[in-house]
Amino acid sequence: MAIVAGIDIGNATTETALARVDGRKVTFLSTGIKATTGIKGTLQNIAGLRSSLGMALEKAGFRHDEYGAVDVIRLNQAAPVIGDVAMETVTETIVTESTMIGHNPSTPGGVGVGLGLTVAFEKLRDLPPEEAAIPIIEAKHDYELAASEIKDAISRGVRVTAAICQSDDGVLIANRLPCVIPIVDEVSAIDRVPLGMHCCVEVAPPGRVIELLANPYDIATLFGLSPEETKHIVPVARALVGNRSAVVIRTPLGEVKERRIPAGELYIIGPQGKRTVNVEDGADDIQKTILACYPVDNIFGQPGTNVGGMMERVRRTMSDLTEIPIADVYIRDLLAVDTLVPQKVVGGVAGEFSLESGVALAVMVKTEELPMQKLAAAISRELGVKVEVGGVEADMAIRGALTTPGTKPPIAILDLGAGSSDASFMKTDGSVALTHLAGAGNMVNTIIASELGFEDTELAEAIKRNPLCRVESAFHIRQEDGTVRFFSEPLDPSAYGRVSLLHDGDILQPLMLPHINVERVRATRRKAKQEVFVKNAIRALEQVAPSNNIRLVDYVVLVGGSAKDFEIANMITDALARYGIVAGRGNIRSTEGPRNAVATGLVLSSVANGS
Amino acid sequence: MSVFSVWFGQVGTPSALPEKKPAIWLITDPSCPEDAARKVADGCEEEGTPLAWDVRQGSASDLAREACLSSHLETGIGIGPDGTAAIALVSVSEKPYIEMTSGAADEKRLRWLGQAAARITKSQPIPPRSENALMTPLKAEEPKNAQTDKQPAGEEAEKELLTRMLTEVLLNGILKGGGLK
Repeated sequence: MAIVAGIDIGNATTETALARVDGRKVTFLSTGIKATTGIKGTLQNIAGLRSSLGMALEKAGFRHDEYGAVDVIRLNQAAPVIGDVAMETVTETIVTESTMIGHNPSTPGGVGVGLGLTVAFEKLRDLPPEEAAIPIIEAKHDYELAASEIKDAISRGVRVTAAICQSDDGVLIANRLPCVIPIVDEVSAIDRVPLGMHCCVEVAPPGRVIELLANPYDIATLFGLSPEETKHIVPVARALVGNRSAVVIRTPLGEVKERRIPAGELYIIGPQGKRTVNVEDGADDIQKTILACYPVDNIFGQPGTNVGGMMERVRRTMSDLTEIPIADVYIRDLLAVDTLVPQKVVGGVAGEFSLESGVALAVMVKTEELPMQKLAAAISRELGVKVEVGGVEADMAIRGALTTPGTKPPIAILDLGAGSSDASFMKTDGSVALTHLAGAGNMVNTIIASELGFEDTELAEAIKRNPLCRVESAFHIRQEDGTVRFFSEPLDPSAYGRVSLLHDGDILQPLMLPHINVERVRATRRKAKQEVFVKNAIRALEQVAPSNNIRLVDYVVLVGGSAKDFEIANMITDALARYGIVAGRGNIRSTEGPRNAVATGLVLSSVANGS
Repeated sequence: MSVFSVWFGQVGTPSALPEKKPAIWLITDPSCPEDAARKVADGCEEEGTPLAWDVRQGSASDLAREACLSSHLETGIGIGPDGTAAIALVSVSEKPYIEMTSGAADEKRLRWLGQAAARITKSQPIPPRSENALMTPLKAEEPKNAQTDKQPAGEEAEKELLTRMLTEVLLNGILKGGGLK
């Protein structure tokens, strides 16, 4: 009789399965899961391994540091792959001919369109009658003063057609004027608004969006633009689409200077030689080219372009992580996903952003065999326990996955992790085909963060993992599926009216992001998961299935951290059902869900090996 | 007719709002000046919600409670004698929904009170209390330029724009000055 610990060191987590092995009889005692410390395969992993094993020991009734109770630790021969994600924009908005203010204050004042010359508020009283003026009101001026000065000017015959102000006073000023003019407020960098220029202000009625300033021909009409000039105004109009209020100021001295960043080409080297695909063609074309080049030897980006810089950055990161010389880093797979990237508009005044199209690229790099024997020796020294390196990770995952009730070989496993998506297929005779693909949980995070316009990866992870709701009153929320839930205690005022995440245990996390709603966040989250996981599931199965035909696979078991997600498994089940495949989230040993497959396999393989 | 009276009025005076008009109620301690009430009203008005004002004695939370019970929008604000303030909702009966322990004399805070109460009635997010947070722009990537030795596009264009604007302003000044002479 022996106590065996199977320990799986993954990119993100270190999982332990603790079992009592009595001849051929295996009794599982407990499991442990902790975050992996350091890059997998390095000596830094020991700290994470200690806490994961300790957790399992404690659950089995031992002391958490009673490592001596374990007779043998079995480690996985970790797959030598590391993934990375990067993001590049393909388009960009540069305002060259005009200045624009396209931000969306929550409460602009008045309504309508006003055309005139911008004038400093202090100069309003010196204007001659009949002049069409748009005063620029800084925050230091009180709204009462602003309103009375404008009223005076109007009574002297000055045509005040609109106003732009810095503080949130738009409605207050508009309510105090004898006539209705559009007022755009909350313009933070008001000192950068050029004075004495032709300017147009538009505020749409509540519930509507601007029409004139979002139409290039209307802008051309307002400012008398030539056909060439109209061409240059298009980025402005485009950036203003969907706003409730906007300002466009024409600066006639502007020299037209356009600069396009070449997105660049990808060179994919396969068995039949080199193929080229332009990143601007989009994710679908990139993916088709990669498929045509399978199995890929290496991927490069065109030097001097965005994608060239991006691929070099990836190589450098990988080289730093793995200590492989940069020339020997081979990118073996790439997943491209079309996405939107909010970019600061060059030439904007109020920090405007425009959603530019971009492409997210995940790459997978094969490294040398990880030095697991070295790690095993070090662990053995530190813990005083015999350590063995078990079989290949994919074999172990299949052994573990087969403990899911309702499965039998031939069976395919999709291991959906954080860094890569791995697939393996076991035939009835026990032989195994295996593939590692770029793109998994981390890529979903990158896409979510990019499309919603923030950088915090933890927030992206939280959005990925939790369903959404909107706090509608002090006592109730409306969840993303429309159901309403009431709470007995008043909800926190900071979450009031906000789109929030509903964590386990009914904990609300309000999202402090501007201009979002439940529908948009949900669509972004689901699209990112579809594009990465569903695409990868099909891609992976095509590679491991007999004669690359997905229909020949009967059972697919999803394992790994991302299979635990509340919707990814369903999306894949749905997508694969079309091929007549039984696909679903694994339930390792009928108790563990999709987790612990490799660790369980490691324990089971010790029996098969007779150790 | 002045538009102003529609947005703010004191109960029991000729300026009072029509009784049926949906409004947020504000009840202040007699020590609280009318200016403070007007600041709260500014916050409400900017959000498009009228404010009815009354003066009674009591603590901020008691006054807020009384106020919300009078309000058709079921939202009330109370300002106490000691610089404290509170927003109460009819639905939250045990205690005020939002409490401000000090600084109710500060102009910006008073306006925030009105804005927060108005947003609650509209079922919209309450703005953050700090002024700076209101202005924080969306975080996103600055346009960047890989593998070229040019300056980042953003800075370049920004500088250009500034120079252009300065030139414009100067030229304009000269032209206008010349014209007047």
